[in-house]
Amino acid sequence: MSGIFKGAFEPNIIAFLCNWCSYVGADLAGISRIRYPANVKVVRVMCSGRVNPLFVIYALRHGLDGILIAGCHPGDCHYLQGNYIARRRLVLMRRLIEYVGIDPRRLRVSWVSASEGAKFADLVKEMVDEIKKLGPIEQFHENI
Amino acid sequence: MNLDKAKIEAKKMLSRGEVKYVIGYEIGTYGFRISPSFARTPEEVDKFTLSPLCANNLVTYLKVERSPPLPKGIKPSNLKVALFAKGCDSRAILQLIAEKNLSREDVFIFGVPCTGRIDPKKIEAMFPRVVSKADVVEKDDSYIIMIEGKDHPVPKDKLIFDHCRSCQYPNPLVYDLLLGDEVAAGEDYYDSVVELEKQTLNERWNYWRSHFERCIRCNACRNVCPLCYCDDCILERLKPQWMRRSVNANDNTVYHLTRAYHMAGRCISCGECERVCPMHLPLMKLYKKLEKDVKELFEYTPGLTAEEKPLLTTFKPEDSEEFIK
Amino acid sequence: MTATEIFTLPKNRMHAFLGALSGYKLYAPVLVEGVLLFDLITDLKKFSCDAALSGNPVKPPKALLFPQTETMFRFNVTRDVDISVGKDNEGERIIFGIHSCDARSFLIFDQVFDRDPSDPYYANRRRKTVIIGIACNIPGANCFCTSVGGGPASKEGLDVLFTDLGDRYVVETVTTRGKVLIKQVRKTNPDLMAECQAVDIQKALELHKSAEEKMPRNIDLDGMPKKLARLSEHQFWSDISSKCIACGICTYLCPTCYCFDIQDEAAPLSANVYKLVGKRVRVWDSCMFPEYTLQASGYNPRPLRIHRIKNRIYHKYKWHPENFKSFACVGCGRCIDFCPVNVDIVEILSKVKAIRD
Repeated sequence: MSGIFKGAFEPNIIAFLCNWCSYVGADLAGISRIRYPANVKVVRVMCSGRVNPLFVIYALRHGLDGILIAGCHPGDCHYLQGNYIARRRLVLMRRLIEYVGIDPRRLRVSWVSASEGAKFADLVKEMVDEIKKLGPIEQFHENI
Repeated sequence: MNLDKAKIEAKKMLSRGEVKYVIGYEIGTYGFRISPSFARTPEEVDKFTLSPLCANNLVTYLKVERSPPLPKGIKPSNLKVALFAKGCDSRAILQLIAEKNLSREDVFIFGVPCTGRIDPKKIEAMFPRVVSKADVVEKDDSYIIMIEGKDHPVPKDKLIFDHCRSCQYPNPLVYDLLLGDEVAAGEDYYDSVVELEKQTLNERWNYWRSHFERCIRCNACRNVCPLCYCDDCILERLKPQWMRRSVNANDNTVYHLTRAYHMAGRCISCGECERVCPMHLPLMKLYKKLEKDVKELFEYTPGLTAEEKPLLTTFKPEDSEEFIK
Repeated sequence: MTATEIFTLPKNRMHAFLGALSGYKLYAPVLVEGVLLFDLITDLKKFSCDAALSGNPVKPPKALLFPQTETMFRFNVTRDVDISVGKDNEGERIIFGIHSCDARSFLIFDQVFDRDPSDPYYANRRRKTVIIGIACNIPGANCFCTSVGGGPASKEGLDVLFTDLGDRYVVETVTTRGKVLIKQVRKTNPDLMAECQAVDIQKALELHKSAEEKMPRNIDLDGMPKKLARLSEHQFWSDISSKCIACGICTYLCPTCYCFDIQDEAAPLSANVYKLVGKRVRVWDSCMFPEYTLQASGYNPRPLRIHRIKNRIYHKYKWHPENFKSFACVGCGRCIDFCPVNVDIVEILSKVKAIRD
């Protein structure tokens, strides 16, 4: 399902950004006219704790090359504890997919606050570069 | 192992009407089989047996007890259920209580200290096509296999489940009546997991893929697991559909990863999933990995007390952030 | 009825025999991680005949004619819906090393899938499959084929029957198709198989007879449909259903179970354009799953395991025989071998027989 434009591999990355910090941070990157690759499709969730870690498996199964989950810094969660719970979950999920043989660099978790527009842009740039090197996810090749 | 003590108590409870039924083991219908046994009257208790072949985790029957759809007009019964629980089984009970899926008063536990159980796949490979009912007793470091009047001694090591060797909790951690003396724990090791961890990403993928390809999605691993009790299993939901119904290596991988993840911090390593799998999938290697990680990262072991908060409902401010940048 | 032709094939020429089956895709049992499964044989050098014939494969050969996941058609949704049924590129195939019980299961499938109108997916494969069986000299621990109208060397459903005489096989053609196949082999390899001597034929018959006598489980099913009709509300059903865990092993490994579910599976072709590609698949389903009869309203006519176990026994030993004149069971014993909790269908039937009513 990864897009192939003009022969080069363009990763398809889905990003779950929490409403109060990382989404605003991404917004700030836009407002500040910071350029970053357009490969990231953003899904706004209220809190990183809302992110069901099985989204990662679902996304990989259906051909997405990377998953980015960004939330508030620990201690700053708008709902007090959501990101702490998310932290536990996602650390385990990353270990599981690595164990089964899926490159764990396809799952990226980061804490991005509302003022860190530049950090968000750098984060996306880094991730897109890394996934370009990893290549499109072919492990769950669809035989539709 | 004092089975008679249990039988006497079971008969008393049944004749006094204190329990709905007592779940134990009885000799199966052929060869080395053991069947779960439901005694509803004191006479049926006589069928009970206890031997190294009794591997079933009877705690799985508590979940069908919890939420049966009842026909109109029938009220759910408040009576207890009594069952036999080995070390691992008792951990399943504690984990269920900790997750608020079970009350301690709902179950009467006959605690069975366990020195390991026989892997049916191994014994059937060693003695194929045995039709007449066989029996096994444990003697020091061997099992004496009794088939049609002949005794065959076999070193325990050749027949015992792999996961029994590294069992840390062979003695029941919760019980109402203990049926024997406490036994020593095994040595905790994660050899098979570590071996896989050492391989490259590609090698691991090929390894797991070659196994998941064989899976027929019979759901036996899920149904036999005492801790898989969701009425509306995510693997069957259609709205939304998390997992396709097609059976192929891709979707089988999703099935097993989902179940493994849902067992993180909850799996008590009873090994039933691997025992029941007709396609010989090495499921314990998957579940043991998460058990190891949970221990390493969060110093948490499931099923030790009834008061412990489940792993993913709590956090510590100093939790690992090993890959979060 | 064609006259059978009987030959002998030395065991050490087995590979030559299989190699001579050119023009066919060869499916035979292979041992994978201790599990015997039917698979497509692409490299004869890696194929072990001894392993293949060492037991009854776990996954029944119904999977070769009625795959667990079958694509019915593909669709492409843009403004219109484009449906394309797959091209028929299924060549001729041979299933080698099948036991008589499993061969009979194809006849039961024919009763359901190949009447008028016939299921094109099944029928297409069925027409193109030649079936070479191996007689059982030693029945498995839970075999009871003789109780359901079969036998360890039954020829029903087979095109060719092999019998193992130790260092050679007796090869008997059963149908015209089988004859044609063996003729083809003998044409390209004239010295591979010799005419079978009367003494070998006699040995084979003796082996068949002794296997029947060694059958470990027997149950007289005479009058079973009528008896079951009278016992529908009996207490004993709840006793035997308590231990069932409602998995699906018995139905998935049963060579005669044929229930299926149909699902549409699709994916967006591209993230940007509304374009959906997908396929409609037919997958195995199991009457033992609670969702099997779950209705959209939430009502379930078979909510408890007791209902579902009763349904399974009744289907196999009452309703199917009443409709189709044969038990929907071939006595292979897989359900008994692999049930995690020792639900034993022969024991259940014996209990039914023993009930006085």
